[in-house]
Amino acid sequence: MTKPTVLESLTQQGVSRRSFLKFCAISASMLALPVDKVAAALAAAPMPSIIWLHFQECTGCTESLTRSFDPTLESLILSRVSLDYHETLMAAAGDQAERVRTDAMKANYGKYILVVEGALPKTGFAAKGGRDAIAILNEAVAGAALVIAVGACASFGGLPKAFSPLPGGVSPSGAQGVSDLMKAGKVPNKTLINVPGCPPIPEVMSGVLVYYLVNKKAPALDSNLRPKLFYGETVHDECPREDFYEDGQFALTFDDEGARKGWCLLKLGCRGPKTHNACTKIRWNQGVSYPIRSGHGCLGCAEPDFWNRKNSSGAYASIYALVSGGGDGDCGGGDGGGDDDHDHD
Amino acid sequence: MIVDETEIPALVQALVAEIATKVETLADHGQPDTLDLRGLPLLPGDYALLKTLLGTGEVTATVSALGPTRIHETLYPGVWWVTYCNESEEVIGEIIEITVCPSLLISDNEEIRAGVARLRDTLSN
Repeated sequence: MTKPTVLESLTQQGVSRRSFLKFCAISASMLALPVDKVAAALAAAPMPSIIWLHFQECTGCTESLTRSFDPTLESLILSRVSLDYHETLMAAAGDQAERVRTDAMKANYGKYILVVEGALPKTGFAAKGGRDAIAILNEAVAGAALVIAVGACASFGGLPKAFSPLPGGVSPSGAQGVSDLMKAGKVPNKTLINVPGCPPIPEVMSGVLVYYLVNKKAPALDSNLRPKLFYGETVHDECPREDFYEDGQFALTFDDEGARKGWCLLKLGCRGPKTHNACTKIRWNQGVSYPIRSGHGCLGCAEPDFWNRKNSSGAYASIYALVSGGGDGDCGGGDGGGDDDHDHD
Repeated sequence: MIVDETEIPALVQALVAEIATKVETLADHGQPDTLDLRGLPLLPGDYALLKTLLGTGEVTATVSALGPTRIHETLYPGVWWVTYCNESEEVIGEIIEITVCPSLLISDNEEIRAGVARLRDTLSN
């Protein structure tokens, strides 16, 4: 059976041609591609087969995508019309669900896009249908044309990888991200795109997919395998509070005069200068706002090991000393994965 | 509006020149083009000046699909200013389309056929 094109699928869902064109125009602008190219490619591209697997996580990434109001075209493309297998959204369960997964993989072997949500714990901590999580991932990666790790957990281990700040602290489940497993040779090496965030911005998830459908290849990636298109700049780069940062005006508590006047949140633990993400550009809830604009510092959720801090100050450990060029940085995970990318100032 | 050319920043001058070239290509070869304003390093002053320079012509339209899209033809025929907004009326994209008619305004042939079927249905019901 020939798969319908992206445009045909959307039309069947009652999406008007003008809505489709508008989506193409916005996507093209976001991806720095010509509008005509995006519209022509999406009108002709067969709807991709997407297999979406969940592992050790909270399902917040799926929530991010499906709870955006309207529904948006992002959610239509990703959650309504192209998913062949998604454990949270599908009605099937048990043997029937397992069969749906193997059938979908068989029907599109070598061509499907595998989306992984959640970290992979070591053997014995997670199983589905009596099979170990890593074995299930291994099998699914083998037949994928592209693997997209969505969220901090699938990208870098996320919360499941978090460990005690006390000496000898380790993650009890030994959780790892997909790239860790590829590097260790535990799953086949395939083209992998990390789309981190806790959760990632829905438009970034769909943007990566649109880029792939239009260009038939992955976008340029940084050293953490994140698309430079969306993760090329830090959250600090276009921060609306940047003037206060430059003038040395910092909020020191969440309800002081500085906080009320919108001053820089760096001394309240904001990790914007060390965090690569598109929150300032794309924002959340269809462009409404994002943490820094709403009065809370950036938690650095798109960086590896953001759950861990080197000292007991925890999530609000200030990186002021590190950013201003001296002192002990409180930031970063125990294995230093979070701040190895110093291309920002 | 008359603006002293010496006061126009180099980037805006370059943009106006580029638009003029694209309009000539449209007139001579029927080739449409677009200019993504979000992708340009325009300062707020540059943006306002460009909008003032191009002005508003005879046609203004709003398309309601995924939030409003506001379109107007500038004082220069064939140069259309297109502003995409989301449901919260925030600007999510802005382009200048060099074309005889912006693609968003044209009725799609398949949708026309589907519309005719619906129209005939109203008679039979």
